[in-house]
Amino acid sequence: MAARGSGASTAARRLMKEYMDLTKNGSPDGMFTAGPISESDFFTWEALICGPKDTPFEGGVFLAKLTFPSDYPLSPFKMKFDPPLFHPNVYPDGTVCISILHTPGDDPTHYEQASERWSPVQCVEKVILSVVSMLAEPNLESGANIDCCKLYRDNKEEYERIVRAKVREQLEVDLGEDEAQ
Amino acid sequence: MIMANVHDAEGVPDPTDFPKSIKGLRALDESLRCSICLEIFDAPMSLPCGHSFCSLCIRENILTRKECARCRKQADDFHLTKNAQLEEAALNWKIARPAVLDLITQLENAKAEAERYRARLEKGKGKASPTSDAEERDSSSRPAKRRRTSADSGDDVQSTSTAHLVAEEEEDEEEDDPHADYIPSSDVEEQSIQEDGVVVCPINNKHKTHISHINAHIDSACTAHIYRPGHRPTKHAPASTAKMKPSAKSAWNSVFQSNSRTSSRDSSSKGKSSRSPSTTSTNERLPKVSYSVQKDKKIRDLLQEHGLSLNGTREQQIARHQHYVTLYNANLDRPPAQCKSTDELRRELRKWEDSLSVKKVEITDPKAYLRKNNDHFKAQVNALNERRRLEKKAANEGNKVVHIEASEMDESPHAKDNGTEQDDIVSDSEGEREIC
Repeated sequence: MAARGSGASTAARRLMKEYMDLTKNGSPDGMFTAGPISESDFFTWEALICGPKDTPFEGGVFLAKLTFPSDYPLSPFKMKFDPPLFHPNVYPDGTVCISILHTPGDDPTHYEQASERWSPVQCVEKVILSVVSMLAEPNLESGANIDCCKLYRDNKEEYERIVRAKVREQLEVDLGEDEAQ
Repeated sequence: MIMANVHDAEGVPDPTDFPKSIKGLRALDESLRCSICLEIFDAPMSLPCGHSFCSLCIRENILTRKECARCRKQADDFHLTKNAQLEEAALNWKIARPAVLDLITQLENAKAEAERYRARLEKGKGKASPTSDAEERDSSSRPAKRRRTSADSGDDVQSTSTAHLVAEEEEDEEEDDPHADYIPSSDVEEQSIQEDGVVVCPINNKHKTHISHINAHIDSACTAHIYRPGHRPTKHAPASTAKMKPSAKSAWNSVFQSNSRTSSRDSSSKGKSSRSPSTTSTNERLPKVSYSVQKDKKIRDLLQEHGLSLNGTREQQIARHQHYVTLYNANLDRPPAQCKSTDELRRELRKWEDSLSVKKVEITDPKAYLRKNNDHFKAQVNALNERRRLEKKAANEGNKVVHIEASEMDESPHAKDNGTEQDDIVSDSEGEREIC
């Protein structure tokens, strides 16, 4: 194992360090956990994120898949909620649209400031914390799910109702699966 | 104990190796690490904003973003300055780190043992509670004694390992000596001005020249205006210059090599003490190339110049050359002892290229692979042909094109459909290649 650690690429070594930090220090308030799915592939992680308090997402637990590029940390990783999340800044396929995960080159919505973009000193922990705060306060200027954006702007109550229903539905599904097992 | 295990098991040291209970150690370890790669600084370079990174890390970052990775202030290659102090601190910390970790483990072991011992005594005391006061006094005094001994052993550990550290520090100083020697040499030179104005060249310490020609001598790479006793200092001596060239070159080499020989001792930690003289003789950085205006041949020439592979597409070749230039320039920022040979840099480049294609599927037996996936390939080829046929048909019936496009547009939001379709196209071409 030691040999693997020393012989690994820069990206893998950095991911190992981040993983060590997360497992040893934990996340702030225990809001999320994250780690590689399998020992053999350090470039695909899974994160479990708790819905932040005082938001319609409260009580939910959301699974996200993190895919790291081989030149990480020069390029940001990708984050995708699975199952997709109903949120103004999450594409219908579950991919998270957040400025901290965009390089200066790509600006899909043209509303982002360079200061909020990815930089190699960002890390999984910071990004997930940003995503958690994004769950609480959607950024309507750079919407990914336009229907959801509209709903949030015009009828926030209905939006919150749908989110709550989805969270409950998802939890029930999980329960059902557990019972089946 | 647990810490050490995790530390060993993972083989990737990080700040969490240090317990939070010891104030400042974790933070110290963190502050001696580059915030890009999270490793202990390797040839740290500072930017005008005051932030430092490994030379390689920040150079790579500047290739994509001309800004400081931490504060995003504008930055470029030419802003980078060597941070010698930090480099020294990082090198020393690399040496001290395992010793400190060892110390902590031993201390914790001692503590745990003392704890166990006390617990055992307490138990014994509980059993023998109706004994006399004297006994009790004795048992109560024992843990204290024990504690002292554990502290003693702790001290012992400390003293031995500090001795160890001191020894290493002394070694370090020795390694610094060549530089230390070098600086006073200018004083020596000042002192050695003879009455007739002849001085020793401050560059190679060998040639003598007249004080009035010293600048010209240095400008000519220590070849012109060499003073020889008995000769009058000549103003221009092209013949002697030509004669002196090889010896001057060897003098240069001897200057650099003596430097490297004395300081290559501590490079054993990296196991990379072998250096080819080619890196030592040229200390010039490779210039950046604006690849977009270069012809394919020029790019191949650039690669060949450094003995790099010519494989791959133009983009891959450019990426290879660009990364090599970055590796090469970052290597020059290392202290002479840590400098790597060009061979090693090429090896690193290969490793980097391999790491780019992480999810490469290895095919050991191409024929078996073909046979196994034949059905799959055939299906894909058929699908492609079918699609081409449909496209042709659609092209013939002009109106329908619009319709099909529209329907495709409708489907596009469904990421899944999109994804599979893209996959098809990619694997189609693969399949065709395989069969061809």
